[in-house]
Amino acid sequence: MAIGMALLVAVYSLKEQAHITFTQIGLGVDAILGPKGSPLQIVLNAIYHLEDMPGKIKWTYFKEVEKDPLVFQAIPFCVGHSYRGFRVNAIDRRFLTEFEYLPGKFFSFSQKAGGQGRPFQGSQEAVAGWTAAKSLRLRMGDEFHPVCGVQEGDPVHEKDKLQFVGILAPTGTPHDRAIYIPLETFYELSGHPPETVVMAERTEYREISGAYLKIKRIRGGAVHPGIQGLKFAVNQSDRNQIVIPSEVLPRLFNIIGWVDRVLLAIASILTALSALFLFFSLLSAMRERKRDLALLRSLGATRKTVMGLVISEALLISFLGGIMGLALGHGLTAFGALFIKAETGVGFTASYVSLADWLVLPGGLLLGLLAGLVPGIQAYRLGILQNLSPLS
Amino acid sequence: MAAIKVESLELVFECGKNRLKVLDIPQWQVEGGEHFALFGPSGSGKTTFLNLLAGLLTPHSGRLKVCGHSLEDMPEAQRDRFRAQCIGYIYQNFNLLQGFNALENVLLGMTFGPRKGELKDAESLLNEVGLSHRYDFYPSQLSLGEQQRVAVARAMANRPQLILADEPTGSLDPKNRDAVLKLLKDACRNHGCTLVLVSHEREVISWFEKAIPFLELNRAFQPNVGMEP
Repeated sequence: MAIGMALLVAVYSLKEQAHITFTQIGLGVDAILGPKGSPLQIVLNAIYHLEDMPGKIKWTYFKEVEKDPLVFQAIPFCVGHSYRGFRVNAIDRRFLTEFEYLPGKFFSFSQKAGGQGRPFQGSQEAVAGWTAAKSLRLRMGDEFHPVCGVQEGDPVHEKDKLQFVGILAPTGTPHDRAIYIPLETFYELSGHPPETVVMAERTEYREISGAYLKIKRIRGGAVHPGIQGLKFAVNQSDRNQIVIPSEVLPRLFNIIGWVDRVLLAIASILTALSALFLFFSLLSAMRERKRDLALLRSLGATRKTVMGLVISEALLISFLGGIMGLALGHGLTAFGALFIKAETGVGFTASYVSLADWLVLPGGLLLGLLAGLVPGIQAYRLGILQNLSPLS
Repeated sequence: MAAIKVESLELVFECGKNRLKVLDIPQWQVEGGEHFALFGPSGSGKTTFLNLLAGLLTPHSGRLKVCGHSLEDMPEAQRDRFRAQCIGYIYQNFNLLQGFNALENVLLGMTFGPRKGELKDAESLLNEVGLSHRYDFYPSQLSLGEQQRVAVARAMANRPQLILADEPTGSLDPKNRDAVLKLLKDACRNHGCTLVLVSHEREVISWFEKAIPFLELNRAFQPNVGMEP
């Protein structure tokens, strides 16, 4: 019973946390200006450092959108590089100093908070997200050659040596899983074709992968509804689109929702089977303990008392199962959180209290009651003399 | 005051259309504090009679008053409470709970009564029956004589007014038999209990000044209708 309940607790906890993290927080990005292509792919790439960006957008177009009165911050970035499994994103320096990645929270290099160093200033400097730095055991002053691509075997920019000058304090977001270099450095890396190199100087030719957009707020902190108009206008173009993560990610959950539904079904079946097992165990124990129960009756226990004893036993077993399930479930959540953090950079917590936490004990007790009911009735009906001693 | 008062007591077992009169006792009375033995062959209804006295069965007709309680019309739950408060029952096969040690078995005897498991009393009862060194022993670790001593201590646990002993020495050798009988009588005397013991062994009956053949009491017993003589 504990295993089934543990699975229920873990699945619910991870599901709810994922839902909150991926749909409600939005990781500080109100909208992403990106190329035409799958909106989901753009969100996964721009925010979660997964997948590839489906194309590029013109710098001039980005500047136009940046000027829109609804946009109060626009952070351009270029993706497509990596280092030992972690994405290397070329990004506007304001990302490290002015970008609010969660309400009221900005990136920090403070040692107190777990960071080191400072934001990059020179073109050959880099900053590592906390997870990337920890996983790669990076130290301040370490140098690296970025890889041109995100696949294994992609060419290395051998002639470009960048130096880590800062490590971001942990944020518990996917931003921890990337390495950041100055936007202009992207164009200057050796080995890029001349048309890319020219983008460093001539902004009219420049292309970027996309940009994080912060939209003006209305009362109550809600995003200005005009974002829909801006999105509509941008999406009319052939090459560009605005993607709103809080719209796209729920769709992702609908797509992958079957996974947690299957897991929940498995957990429910396991729990139901264990309740059935408890029922048969109690039934078989009843057969073995008829004499003991008859003895209790002979000592003065009423029918209700012995029935209560049997049902209490079932309740106690299911209660203990529930407690163990809760403990095990949170253990599983901790394990799952580690895995998710490693894959996405999103920090989940084992101490999160989900709906399942509230339901496991009452639900378990209800199952225990159902499992103990028939054996309890048998105990109620038990004849004392038939089960105690022969007549003489 | 009479501890047991029986008048025109009849018990009939019905099996389909067949009716078997098991007990037919016109009159019988035991005074409080008396030690009484009933003897007779197996199948004569002795245990059934004890079960009636304990409220485990109800008579078909007649009057049955035990420790001041009229049992004939008493509802079952009330009889259970009566049993917990007034009766100590000792069985031939001890009926100890195997998963409980000696002390716990005695405490169990108090569970449903008015005393609610007082540890010191349970220990004192085990001391009284000579098992001060066996508190933690489980029934399987005790000799038969020791098991019956635990059963005696358990029967005394609620300070009952009436002790019913059903062939309490049937499983014991003569030495243990005598020891348990002495213990039982002493314990009943010390606690002021009335004792009704049934047995088919002459050696057991000889311990009692007041003993009557159950056949004299029970008019329903007919040895020639399939019961053991």
